[in-house]
Amino acid sequence: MTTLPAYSGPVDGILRPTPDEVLRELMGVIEAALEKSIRLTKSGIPPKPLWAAINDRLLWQDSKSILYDWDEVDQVRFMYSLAVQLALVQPDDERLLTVGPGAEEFFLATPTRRSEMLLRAYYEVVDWDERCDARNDHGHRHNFGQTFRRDFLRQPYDLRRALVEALGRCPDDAWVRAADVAHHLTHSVPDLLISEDDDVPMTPPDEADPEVERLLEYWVILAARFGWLDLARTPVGLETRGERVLRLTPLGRVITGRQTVSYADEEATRERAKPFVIQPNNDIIFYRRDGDISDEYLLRRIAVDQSYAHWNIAVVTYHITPESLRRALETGTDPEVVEQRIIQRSRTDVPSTFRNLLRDARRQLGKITLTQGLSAVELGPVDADARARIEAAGFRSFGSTVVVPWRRWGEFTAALGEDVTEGFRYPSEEPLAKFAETTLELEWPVLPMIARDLLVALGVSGDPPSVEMSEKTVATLAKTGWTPKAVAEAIAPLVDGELPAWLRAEVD
Amino acid sequence: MSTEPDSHVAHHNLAVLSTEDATIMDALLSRSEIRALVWKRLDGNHALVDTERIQLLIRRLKAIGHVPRFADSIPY
Repeated sequence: MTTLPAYSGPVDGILRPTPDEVLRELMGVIEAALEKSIRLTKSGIPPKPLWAAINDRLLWQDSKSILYDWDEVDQVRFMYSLAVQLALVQPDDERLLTVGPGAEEFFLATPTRRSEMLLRAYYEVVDWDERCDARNDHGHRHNFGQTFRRDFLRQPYDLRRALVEALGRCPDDAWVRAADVAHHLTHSVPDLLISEDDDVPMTPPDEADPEVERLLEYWVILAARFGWLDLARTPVGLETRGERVLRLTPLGRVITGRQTVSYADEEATRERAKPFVIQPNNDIIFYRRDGDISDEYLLRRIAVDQSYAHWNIAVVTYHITPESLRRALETGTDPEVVEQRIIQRSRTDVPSTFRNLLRDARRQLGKITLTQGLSAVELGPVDADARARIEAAGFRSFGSTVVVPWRRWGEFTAALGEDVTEGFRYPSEEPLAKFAETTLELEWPVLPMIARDLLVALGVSGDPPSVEMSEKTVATLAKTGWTPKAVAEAIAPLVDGELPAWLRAEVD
Repeated sequence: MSTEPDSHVAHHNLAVLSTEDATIMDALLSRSEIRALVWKRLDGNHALVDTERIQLLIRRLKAIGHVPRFADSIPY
């Protein structure tokens, strides 16, 4: 792989960003969603009060003048889209936004795993495209490629992969001119910024496309906010500002596949830190410098609602009550995590009052458990070596289905060593099936996981699969425990509630 | 049709419901209001469920005397 030329001259004004800002903004999206009862519109767009609540929590806020149209907001939409992609927030069955199943998985992961999840989510965001949605300090669109409101030839996913791949060509521990990155992109992926109707631009071999240069000038700021890059400029001239230069951070080297880290070492480092002092009145004093965003997240989950102290304050106090702890445990927090992450990392002896608080909360819970933040991979033909690697890496297999925690997705694909076809992400944006008279027709050849046992019991077949589904066929399922009402409830999310009248009557 | 695909297919954003033993899972699945929310039984005491309706599942489990707890990893 060609490495971009290093810049060895002097630099000014080095910025060494961390991902903390983005992580705090993502936590802000959760807080904003929980601040009031927020119900999504039928089209899935969040209501305006949520935009303002998110914007209030962003360090890079949108201009107030554009907070009137979902298509106009930039940072609010980007952060909300990332949060949805990470399942930090998710609508429930009544379209009310709640803490999503990905929140614990994401915030409690090690820093590197968290960054890998963030990169994956960034790749997959489709509701925001930096080419036509990103705005400058004045709230004006950048419109990279000048094809505003026309479909681009390449998907946002392709654009982002190309940008990150270009970063992977930076030499270790050396500055690189952004112009050299733009030159590489111009000639390696010349159709990044054109619309479906445009011709690929012909750029002289020794030049970069000015539009790609402009995109790079914007995008390196975003990459720096993710913690992938240090930024600087070459020394300022008398009349011009210096050229932009960039350098991969250790995290940048990891996300571009140039370097690996030991997740176990990261866990061990975190376990050694003792950022808490627990008081007899169940106040937890948190020394932020010794902890990280995962500690802050966990405290906010189990503490009573309060106005949160500014991020610059070094020491903060959270108050825990039986009700606040119970609410957290009933909505996704594992009591073992509270034990391991807080009680075992207290600087001082833990008062019996706090131990009793957790013990009493645990006693109210039964032995049925729910584990969220998972993917299920249905394996096709797989050789014995790959299966052995999957088992050795500690992934749970149930027949041909492997269940993978999101934070370990990269480890799973490495262990499998083969491509995985993307099936579905639930809840799906579009219905995955529809009724055509008495036939349930699935939209895609891949069988969804929604109501899988029922679909198999019904005997779906074909490509795409379909099955005859009438009152008579459903009645025959009764002997296997599927009542018509259960069938209707199970099928409803598959067809986005568009059930035939005889089935709808069962759930109305 | 066979539910085993020709290639490896990923399904994202799922939750697993776990019970200590298979008889508890059998008892849960014998109730139509629980069964409607369980997508696929993986083995005796594990099943994939719908994350979008997880609070509804919890309400229904509570109504029949079970208060589930959340776990960071799949037990049993």
